[in-house]
Amino acid sequence: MGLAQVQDVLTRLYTDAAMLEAWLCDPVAVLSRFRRLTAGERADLLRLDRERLVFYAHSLRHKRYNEVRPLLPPLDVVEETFMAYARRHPIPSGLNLATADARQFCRWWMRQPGAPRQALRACLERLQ
Amino acid sequence: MNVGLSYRRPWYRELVEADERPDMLEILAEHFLEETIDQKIVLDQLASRYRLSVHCLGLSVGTPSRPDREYLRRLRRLLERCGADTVSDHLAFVRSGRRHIGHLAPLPWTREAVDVVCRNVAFLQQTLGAQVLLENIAYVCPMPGEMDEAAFITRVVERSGCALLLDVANLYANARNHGLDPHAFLDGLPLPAVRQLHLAGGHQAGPVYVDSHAWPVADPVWDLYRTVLARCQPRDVVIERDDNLPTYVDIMKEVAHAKGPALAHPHPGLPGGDVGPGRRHHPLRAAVHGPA
Repeated sequence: MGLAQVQDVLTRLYTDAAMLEAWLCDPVAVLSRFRRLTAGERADLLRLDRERLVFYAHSLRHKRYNEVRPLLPPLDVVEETFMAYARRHPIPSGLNLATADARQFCRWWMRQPGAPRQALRACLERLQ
Repeated sequence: MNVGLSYRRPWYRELVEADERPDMLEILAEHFLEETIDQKIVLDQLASRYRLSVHCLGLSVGTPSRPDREYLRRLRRLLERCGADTVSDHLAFVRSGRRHIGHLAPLPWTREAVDVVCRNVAFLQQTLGAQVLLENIAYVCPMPGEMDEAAFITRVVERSGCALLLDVANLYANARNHGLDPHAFLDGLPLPAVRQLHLAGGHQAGPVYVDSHAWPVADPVWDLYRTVLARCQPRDVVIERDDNLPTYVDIMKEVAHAKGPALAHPHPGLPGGDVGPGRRHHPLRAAVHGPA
């Protein structure tokens, strides 16, 4: 029985956009990477509603953005940049997940071409 | 029965100074775990005026691995500081290993998940010295399992001795999104174990009704609330609002509205309403027998 593996699959589908896209193309191939799942667990996972799964993953990224938005610099491109970041980067651990996520996002954005480094540096100092 | 409010920072001044007050407050643990000076001051001010109930998002009771030790240490200190005798979280998982989802995800309703939740509840009650209340969540994409949700909740309550936090708005959202009969769902629940109710407002987003906590409590939820109150006797009812916050005056109108039906069903053990700030009840009291 593999509750931990089932949750691992679900968590990745919810938070890893690349894995969700692979799932939508070929869920059986994605599940073949998770060897400890029972046949029943595989069958249950394959019964997940695809449309609702996509809706949920998308709503999670928006919720995540809403959590960190008050902590970020008020720049025009912050939302679309955060959404691009959130598709590939899971929320880091920490007592306050929003603060940890905002810090990680600012550091990631600093490394991107054309990033507003001064505003991001000020934000990181404030979040320390 | 007490009707309270889920604490949000913009209402702090009025909560401390206004004459019109909720009976109790629910605080979100994650807002106070960093233990900053500001957080401690706010907490002490609130605890001196209200009985506080502590609500969590991060325990992840459905995850096989245990919560972070530092999180638990700070949560225990928080419970002690505000004199809370219960701690609530959701019948859900929010992480797998160290990967966080950022929100509540539904568990597969399986026997293995029942075992995991019961093991975690026992561990948490022992570690925290407080009774655990578990809340039904709203879900968009349920995971197929071996039983229905009501049967899953019943098994968890009967085996773990935890109490239930019945979120009426979540019940409504699930009924609306998944075509369930909320009354049949209530029939399947161990209603004597309900210790607290949550009320909140959501909105329709495309094909899905989202439990966003961003709007006033909707009429169908008030109707369901009256039905629930006719069938169980919770100690507390809490109005939740996370986004699109109204003024204190307006949120207190919702508290007053909730008191209407609540006053028609006074709690047998609490004739005078609130038990006062900071009073500790005996931890781990079996919820199925109700509070003393």
